[in-house]
Parts: sequence; C-alpha cells; structure tokens
Amino acid sequence: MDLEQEKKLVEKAKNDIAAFGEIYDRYYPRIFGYVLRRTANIETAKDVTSEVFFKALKNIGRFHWHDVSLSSWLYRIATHEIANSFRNSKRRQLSVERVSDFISMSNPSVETVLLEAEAELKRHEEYITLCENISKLSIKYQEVITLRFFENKQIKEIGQILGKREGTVKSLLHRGLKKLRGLMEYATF
Amino acid sequence: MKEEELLKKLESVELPEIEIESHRNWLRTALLTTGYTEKRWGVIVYDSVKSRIKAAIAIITRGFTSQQPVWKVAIISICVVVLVASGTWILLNREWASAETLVKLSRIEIEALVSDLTPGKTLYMREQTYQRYGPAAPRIMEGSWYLPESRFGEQWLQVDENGNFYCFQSAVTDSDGNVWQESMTVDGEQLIRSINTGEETWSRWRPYPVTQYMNSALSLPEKLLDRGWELVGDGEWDGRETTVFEKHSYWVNHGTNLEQGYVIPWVADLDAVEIIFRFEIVSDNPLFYSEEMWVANATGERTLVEQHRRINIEVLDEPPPLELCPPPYVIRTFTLNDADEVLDLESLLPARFKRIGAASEGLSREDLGLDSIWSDVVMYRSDVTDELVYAYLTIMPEPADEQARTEVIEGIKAGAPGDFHQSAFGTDAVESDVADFVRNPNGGGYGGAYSDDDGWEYGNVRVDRVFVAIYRISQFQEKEPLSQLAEVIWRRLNKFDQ
Repeated sequence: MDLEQEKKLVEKAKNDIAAFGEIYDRYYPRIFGYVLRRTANIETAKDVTSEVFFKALKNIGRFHWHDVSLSSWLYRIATHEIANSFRNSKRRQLSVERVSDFISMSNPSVETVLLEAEAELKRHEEYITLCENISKLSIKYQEVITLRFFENKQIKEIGQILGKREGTVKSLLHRGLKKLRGLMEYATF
Repeated sequence: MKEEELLKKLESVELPEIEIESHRNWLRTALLTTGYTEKRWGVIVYDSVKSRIKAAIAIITRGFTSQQPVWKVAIISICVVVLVASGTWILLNREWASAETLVKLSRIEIEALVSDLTPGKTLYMREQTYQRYGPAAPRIMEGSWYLPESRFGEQWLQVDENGNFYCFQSAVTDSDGNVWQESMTVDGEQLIRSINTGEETWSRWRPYPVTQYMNSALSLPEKLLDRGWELVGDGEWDGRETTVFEKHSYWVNHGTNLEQGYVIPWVADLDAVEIIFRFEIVSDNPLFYSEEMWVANATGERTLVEQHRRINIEVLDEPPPLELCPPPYVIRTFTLNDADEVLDLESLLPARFKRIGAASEGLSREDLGLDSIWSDVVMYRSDVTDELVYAYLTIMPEPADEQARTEVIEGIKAGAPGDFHQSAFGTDAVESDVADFVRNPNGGGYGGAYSDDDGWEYGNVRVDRVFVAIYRISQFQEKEPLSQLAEVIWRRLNKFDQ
C-alpha cells in the first residue's frame, strides 16, 4: 500500500470501523513486535499493544498527516504506552484476556500458547542479555536505541516518533550507545 | 567493548519474532465492536468516568457486604498489607505453602503419567467441552476465530518413539449439531472429516510432542500463581478434590468504552464491573481441569460466561482404535498442475452446468492475456442462456512485490469484459481486496466475492501464495453464492503446501 492509499484508508477509518480493521491488520504485527522487543515480556506486550490500538481508534479522528505518518504515529503511541507500562508496572492491573480458547490436543489453550511463546522468547539468549542491559538505561536512551537497531528506523523517523529534532536523536543515540557500551563491558554473551 | 563490536552486536542480534494469534484475533474483535466511531469524544469520557466510579464503589462495597468469604478474606488481606506487614507475610506464606504442596503432588502425578506413556500405550480423554452460558452466549460473534460451542467425545493419542502424538481421533459436535471427526497422522498433519457429509479437509498443525503437552500441564498451579492468579480455596468436582484459582480484572465496561477498558461483545449486556477467570484443577491431576470465565455486576452477582472442561484423562494399556486413524499422508507442494483438481467445480455447481473448453469460447489463458504464472481457465456453462462460471489461479512469486501485485490485478482485469472493469473492478471493494492480498502474501486463507448490477460476480481465494479468481455471469435469480465455491476451493488448497 503506498502513501496515497494509506491516506485514503486513514480518512475512511475516521468514520468506518472496517477501514480501521485494515489498519489494524497491517500494523498489529509491527506494533506487537516492537513492544515485545522493548519489554521482553509477552504479557506486557499483549497489554500494551491492546492499549495502543484502543488509543489509536479513539484518536484516529484527530490524526493529521502533516505531522507524522500513520506508522510513526502508532509507534509514538506505543512508545508512550511502553513508558507508562514501565512506570506503572508495579501497580498495573492485569488486562482482560480471553483465557478460554478452543482446547484440543492440536490446538492448545491460551495458557499453553503463552507458555510456548515465553519459551521461544527465552531461546533468544543474546537478545535477552542485550535487552537486560538496555533496560538499565534511561527510557529516553532505550527508545532511540531500540527504534534504531531493533526496528531499523532512520533518524528522521525516530525524530517523528519521539517528537524530537534529528540532532537531538543523534545526540541521544550517541550518548545512549556510550552508556550501553559501559554496561556491556560486564555482560557476558 | 569497542564501539564497533557493540554496533555489530546490535545489528546482528537475532530478534524474537513471536505472534500470539489468539490475542491478535481477540483484540481485533474487541476493537471492531467498540462503537467508538459512533460516539462523540465527550460522551466517551463521561461514560468512562462514570463507569470507573461505579466499578470502584462496587468493589469496595462488595468487599464488606458479600456473603462470600473469599471476598472478605481478600479485603481483609488488603487491609493487612497496608497496616500490618508481618501479617501479610504470614498470610501469603500460608497460601504459598498450600500451592507448593499442590505443585509437588501434580508433578508426581504427571511425571507418573508421562513415564507410563511408552510406545504402544494410549492417552485417553473421555470428554472435552467448550460451552457458553446465559445471556452472553448470543453475543458471541460468528467469525473464523470464534469456534462454535463444541463437545469432544472420546479421544485417543498414541505416542511414537520420538515422543510425538501420532494418532488422534475424536468426534466433535458443534452448536449446529454437525459432527466432525478430527485425526492426526504420522506426520502430525490433521484431517478434519465431516461425519454428516463425508467432506474432508486437511490442515497443517505442527506435530505436538507429548512432552510439550505434559510440560504445559506440569506445575500448572505454580505457573498460574506466577501469572498473578490467586489461590482462593478448595473445591470438589466429580467426587475429586480440586483447587480453585482466580484472576480478577476490572478492565471491563458497560457496553461503551472505558478509556482504559475493553468492550467485550459477550459481556456487554451483563452490566459487568469485573471479569473473573477461574481455573479449577483436580488436585492430584492437573490434566483434568475446568477453565471458566465469569462476570460480576455491581451487586456482586456472578454469571458464568464460558467454560472449558477436560475430563478424565488417563493412560490405557491398549492402543487406540487404529481403524479410526487416517493413513500417513504427505503433503505435496502445490503446483500449477494441481489447478485442475482444485478448480474442479463439477460437483459443486447445479446439474445445469457442464464443463466446456475455455479455448473453444475464446477464453483460453492466451486469449485472456495471462502469462505462464497462471493456470489454464476452467469453465462451466449452464443450459440457461449466458450463464457461465470460470476460474483460474496463480502461484505468486516470492513475497508479493509491486510487480506481482500489478500482474495479479492485470490478470483479474483480463478475465472480465470491458464493462466489468468499469462497473465492478473499479470499486474500492475489489481494489482494496487485491491490495489486502498483496499486503499479506504469507498470511492465511482469505476469500471474498463481489458482484455488480449486471449479473457479474467476482470471487477470490488466497492461501499463502496461491491466488484464485472465480467469475460468474448470470441473470439467473436463484443462484448459489459464489462465496460457497470459494470456501470449498480454499479447503482444497489447504491440502497442499504452498
């Protein structure tokens, strides 16, 4: 889908829930992936991703293209929600989840799926170690480093997502990497 | 560590690519049934505030007035947390001690089951049910992710030398009374056979190792506690002692949206202020459990909404009834040579249709301008004047790029006469549908049908990289929906690897 088509879709989504469904289908994997890579926690990723799309739905009527692209806008909401999640992690209420799901031997329950997903996550040992070190940095550094390296975003787009100037992003990235390097001196891979 | 080393590590680290399909589907439904776009912002905020206050009052009030001792304990526990830290420690330790005992017991039982599951023996399950209750039941939307209420009859699983289940047979009765049989082959593929019609569908589940299944149940109580579930007491079920866990969620609203809450279609009319997830596990065998969802209203009244039950799992000495297991089946990769089999519509169309050569009608692949990535055109003409059905398919090249998208769109255009381009193809519905296919080239199945006022219909089916286009022209009023043909084709395609 090119930019023009996406613009049309966004305009349509302001009044048409089915069009919002198309946006959701397109961006859910990216946003869930981003949140998961930031938080390294399946449950948190589910909760935060839900929040992102509910907020997107609520605010899509106020979304304007001249500010940021749709992708950057969703990443921006996700970034805010991740920060909120870190801040509220100790008092955060568990979100609604559909525990019951179709259970059969070949189609395991939601709990089982989650357990498997967690096992898959733990398999990425190098990433987990890296993530643990990144999580020790200030949130502002975490944001630029993960957007740059985990999400492959360019400096300009990171600026759009975070609402910061490109120079500021470069500076944050430079300082963040320096701090991370210091932390990694003691990390083992 | 040098800067270059860190950059290299950051750029090359293998990142997790995980998707939770159930969450994706659930969230989609929740979003698309919110009614947000129908409400004004101010109204939503007002509802949100009102609902939150109502929920908070209900929770506090219920804690002190409820006849259920569980709630009193919960509220008292909160007070203890605030006022007497040592008291909290004692209370929590008592609960953990109980859970630990349970974990130990369940581990012993399951380990005994696993060690008993040697080749030749069979895991047997008497029954497994999924039911919805009360006013919530009709609220559950129909959709591919909402499976119907069902009752599994007897199920047998035999374990091979590698620890995989290789024979799985059961009868499933859905809410419409259809009976289905589900089997799994040596290769871990699954056959779903309709008992009513004899129709078969193959699907591709990955093999499910018995150890994985057992491990998911192993220490289940411990895992629930880790996930924030509360141990709320003992119960009894079918004459066996059970342990009950609950997880409470207050992120529920009353038919409209909370700012931080979700509309759940199947609880929307229940004035719910709280959702309670309940796990009741037979104490000496966590493979035998009930998983339930309840909602509570402001007065504390609970309504059961959904229930899953696994009943009576045991290890038998005798093998499963092997005549019920399908033969080993190896899934072939789909090629254009299989197009004729997949597009054979003879048995699906009314008797008035007969297959004809597309070339003789001037509608061969070449006539339509379709290049080598397309199959031949399969065509049926009825004895009713100008009633025609035809279809063809393509296997898309690697992840659909712009060129592939153009080829598909042009191919579809080529299949229809000029006025069809203008009257139907030019609409957003068809255009966006094609775009959707291209956007998700590696996704699951997808089908759709569109028609115009002149008796033309266009349908499509997609399974991974295989894309089928079906057309019908007819002025016949009582025609079967094209989507039915699309669905059958979709099932046939699932027999293949793409």
